Amino acid sequence: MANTKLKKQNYKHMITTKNLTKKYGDFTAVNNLSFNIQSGEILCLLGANGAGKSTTINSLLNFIEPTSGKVEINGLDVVKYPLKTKTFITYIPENLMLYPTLTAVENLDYFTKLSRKTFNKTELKAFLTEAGLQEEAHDKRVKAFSKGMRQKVGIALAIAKDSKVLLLDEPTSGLDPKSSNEFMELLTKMKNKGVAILMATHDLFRAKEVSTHIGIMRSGMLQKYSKTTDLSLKELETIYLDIMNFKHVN
Amino acid sequence: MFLNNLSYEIKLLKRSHWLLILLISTLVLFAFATFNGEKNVEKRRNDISIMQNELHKNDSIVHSALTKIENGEQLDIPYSQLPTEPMVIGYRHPRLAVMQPEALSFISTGQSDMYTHFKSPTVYGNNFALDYSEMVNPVQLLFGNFDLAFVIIYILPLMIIAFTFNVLSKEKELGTLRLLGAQPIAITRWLLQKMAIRYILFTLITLIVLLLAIGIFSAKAFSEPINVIGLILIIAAYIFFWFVLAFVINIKINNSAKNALALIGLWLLIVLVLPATINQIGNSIYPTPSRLKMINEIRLIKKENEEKQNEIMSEYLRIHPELAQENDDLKLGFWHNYFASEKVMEEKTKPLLAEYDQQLQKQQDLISRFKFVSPAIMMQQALNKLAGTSEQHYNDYKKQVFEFSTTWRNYLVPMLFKNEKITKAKFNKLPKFEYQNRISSDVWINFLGIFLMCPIILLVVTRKQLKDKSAQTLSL
Amino acid sequence: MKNIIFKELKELTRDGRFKIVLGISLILLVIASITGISQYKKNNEQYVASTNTERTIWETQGDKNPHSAAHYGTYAFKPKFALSLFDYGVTKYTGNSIFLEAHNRNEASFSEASDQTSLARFGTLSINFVLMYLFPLIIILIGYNSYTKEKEHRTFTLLKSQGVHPVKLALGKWFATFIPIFILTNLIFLTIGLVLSNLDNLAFFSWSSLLTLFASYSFYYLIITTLTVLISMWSKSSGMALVSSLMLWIVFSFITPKIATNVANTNHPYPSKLEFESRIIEDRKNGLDGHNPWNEAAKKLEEETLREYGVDSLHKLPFNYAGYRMQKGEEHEALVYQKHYAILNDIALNQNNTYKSLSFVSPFVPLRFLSMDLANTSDNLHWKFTQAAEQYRIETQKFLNYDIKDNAKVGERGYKMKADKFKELPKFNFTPPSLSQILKENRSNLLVLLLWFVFPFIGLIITSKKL
Repeated sequence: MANTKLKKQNYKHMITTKNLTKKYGDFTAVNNLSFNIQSGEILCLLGANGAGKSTTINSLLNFIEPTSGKVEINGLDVVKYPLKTKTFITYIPENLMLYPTLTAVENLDYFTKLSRKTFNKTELKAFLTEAGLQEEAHDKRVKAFSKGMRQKVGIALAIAKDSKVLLLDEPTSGLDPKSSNEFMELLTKMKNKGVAILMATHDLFRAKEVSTHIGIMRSGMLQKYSKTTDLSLKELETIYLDIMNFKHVN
Repeated sequence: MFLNNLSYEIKLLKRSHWLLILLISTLVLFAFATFNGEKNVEKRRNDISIMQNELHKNDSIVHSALTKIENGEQLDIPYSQLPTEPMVIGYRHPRLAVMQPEALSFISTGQSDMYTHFKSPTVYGNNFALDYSEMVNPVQLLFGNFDLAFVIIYILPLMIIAFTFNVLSKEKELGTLRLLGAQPIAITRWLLQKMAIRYILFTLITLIVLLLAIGIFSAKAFSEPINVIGLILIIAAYIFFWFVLAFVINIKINNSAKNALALIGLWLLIVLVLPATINQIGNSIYPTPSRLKMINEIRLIKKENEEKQNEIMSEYLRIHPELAQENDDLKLGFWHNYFASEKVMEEKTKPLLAEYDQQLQKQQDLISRFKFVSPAIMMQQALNKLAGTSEQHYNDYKKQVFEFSTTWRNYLVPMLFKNEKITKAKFNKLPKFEYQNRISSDVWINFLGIFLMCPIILLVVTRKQLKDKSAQTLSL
Repeated sequence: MKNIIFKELKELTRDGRFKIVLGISLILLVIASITGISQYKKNNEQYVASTNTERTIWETQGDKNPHSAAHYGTYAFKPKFALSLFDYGVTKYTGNSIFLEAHNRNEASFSEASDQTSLARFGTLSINFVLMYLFPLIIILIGYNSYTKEKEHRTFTLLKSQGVHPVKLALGKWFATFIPIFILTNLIFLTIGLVLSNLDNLAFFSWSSLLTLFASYSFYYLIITTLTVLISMWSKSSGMALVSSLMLWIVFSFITPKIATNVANTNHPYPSKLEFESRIIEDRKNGLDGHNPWNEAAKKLEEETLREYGVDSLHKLPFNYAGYRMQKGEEHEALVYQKHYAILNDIALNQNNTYKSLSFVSPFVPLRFLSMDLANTSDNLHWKFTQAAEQYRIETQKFLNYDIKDNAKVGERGYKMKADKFKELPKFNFTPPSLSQILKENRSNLLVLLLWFVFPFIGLIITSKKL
């Protein structure tokens, strides 16, 4: 019923979790988590290590099965349609790794073909350029690529696949500020194209800068959820520290 | 997806130099093994032709002696060696019963290093209890040969393990697996394809190199295309078995170091420990009947028989029948008694030997049932059968020689009693032994045995993972 | 250094893989021991029973012509040696009984392997199978990452910064790799010794041989330990170290011995049995034939004998000439056999030397030879047994022929030896070589093993300083 209602809306609910809970034995990694991300929105999940951010992303990718609750991509149940939902997704893990003996173009070719999309070399190069990878690196083996360069290949993959959903796990950790900036610009571009983006990060300032919504997680629960525009950086900082400190007090 | 995987798998393998390493190592191993095998066969042929030449030489001496006799010339030969006497021909000039190597004998030494390949059954003497063992340094039998069978059974699996142990775990350790998992593909299917591609590549390279080695060192093998096809198929099945194991381990364990150890452990189990254990336990549960006891029993029969023989013939001639001469009437009487008593001896020992053989056969059958436990054993049996060097072949050869010895006796003994002499014409028409390979190769049974194991292992062990469209069971 | 050893051992006891491998090895050892002991008992009973039966058959022949008895012959059975249940050696490939008759030297017949299926060619599970093939693997499993894990966990720099002397560190890791297997080997040999010394009817068991076996195997493990740790030092990753060590193990225990077989066979081929026999027949023809008085050599012997005794006719000799000629013919035949078997033995020795020269590629080969020599299951022992049997055959023939010579009347055709006289023939008796003799014969094997230890160990010390 919810689905039919959603589909009538202009902005689709692209990434949805409903009462998502994941337990590992006695340990609850994610507890009753619910949120919606629509096309053209960026939700930044903030939180310390072990807060449940990665578990949430893994559930969306069906790498793990939820203990209870639902995860949906583009209105489709991830558990029921694991392969179908993945056609909408591009996932960029914290440390995106590619085949070191293949070139950037070859890597992109391989992964797009796995998504049943075939492009010729010129098109592939165009995607890489659009993702900001400099021309001379296109035909180089990725063995020597930096993390930022590899991420650009990842974004190129999202562009090539025409992904509606982008899942990012700590994309800026370990990046130098310049690459970080470049990456954020890319994200904004993707957002403007109508991609729904979920990004797990520690980086408060980047989150404030790029996101449309911010969620703060602790112990698997969404402690705070609001529109980014509703919060000043100062406010955000206070809330964040508050929540994180609360954990320490406990 | 398959074509994409195919082209990139080849690209990746080429760039990691794996294909080159594989090509060179199979080339070296197969060439060396084929060369060795061919050399062993050559020695066998050589040994045979030495004996044949000797026989030809002797035959031509006999021939010229016969010519002289027929021309009425006097000969300087004692009566006991006169070639006109059927018994002289039957005992002093027996025919050679040769077991020629098969076209594929070079692939497996099998039991060929233990048994002789030629026998000369004589007109009298214990032809039913001939010793077929060959002169050989026992250390050689202990260590075995570096032949194709060894390379295929022992070394190929190790190369497969090295080639496949980390197909999946490498992706995990490299980090590409998470990216793969996020693509709209089922990882197990993707892995299956990758393994299939590697299997095809590996099998192609192996078989092409094998055929090349055979072509260079032992081209005669191609005269038996059916057997060569059997060889190719069974090797392909054996390789397949190891790829299935590697696939299962990749999915189940998915950690490079642990994968390698687990696969090496399986290799040890299948190729070394299981066969040795089955052999030991099998022989403990179903022991071969005691040869020493058999000797004792035959000795008793022989003693009894000799006592009876002594009543009807000269003891001296009994132990040296070749010296039977005197006048013809006396001689015939002697031979009559002699063959009669030999027959008695044979009839008395026959049930004993038959019982022994039966027990042995039963024991061997029981043991060979265990072969289905290990594909390595099935492989060995199949290769030996193809090479014509299995125990069945040698058992059958013994049987054929025994049959021939009967033919030989039945040809000559009536001549003796009819007082016929050997002439040149008759000498040329003596019965000849022709070895026939009457053992059907079980390549197909063993092929099926090995091949059917694979889906069973796959289904039993990785049923859950194969159904899994997502990547949950792989713990990314 | 104690500290280092304890740390390594503690890590080991926490390793599940080690426990699994150990468990499997112990189960195999138990299977090997139980089946080995039961087979040994059975075989030994058969041996004792057959020897007694054969002797009874021999002694109860009644009045009989001696040459007839010589043709009826007797059997020499190879005794079972206590340590054969530790290492079967080549016993499966050599026969256990030799038929001793007039005129012919026979080969030992009915080897176990020729009665078994080709499954036997995979090898047999015995105690030494586990000790020789599997224990080195356990060492590799323990030691392959002794250095690489420190490199991979980046603890190596930490260790170095603690001021541990590198040689001490190396020796610590070396000991830690060796000690578990050493303790295990101790226990196993002690158990074998205790079990063996409590078995009934045990022939030729000596603690000193067992102790020497124990020392040989332990020493081999030292070699493998040294090589494993050395490889771990040289390797960049644990995976590489494991693969290299395993490769070495395969080259040592499978590839080299098999290649050695092919090399030996090519360079020093055995004649085929028929060829061997026909060469002997050829040589026999040219000599004395004890049955053929018209033979040239026989005529010569006649003249010589007459001259020696100063008589002009065989009737006037103080003994039965027929028996004397028979014995001389037998002696000639024995010489022919001796010559040809000596040639054969030379080929065997050359082949074994080929194996020994490949010991420089694999320490497994000298250990293999040493082990079966110590267990009295080697080809060397078999050769000694066949020699002893041949000696006994010659003596038996002499015993019988001299009876004709001394007791038969001249020209008497139906002469028979008295039934009681058969008992006077001494029994066949074979004692294996002493331990010191075995060790003397294995000097080169011992030396090669020593070299295999010394050089890698020096390498270990040098490399440890460079790390």
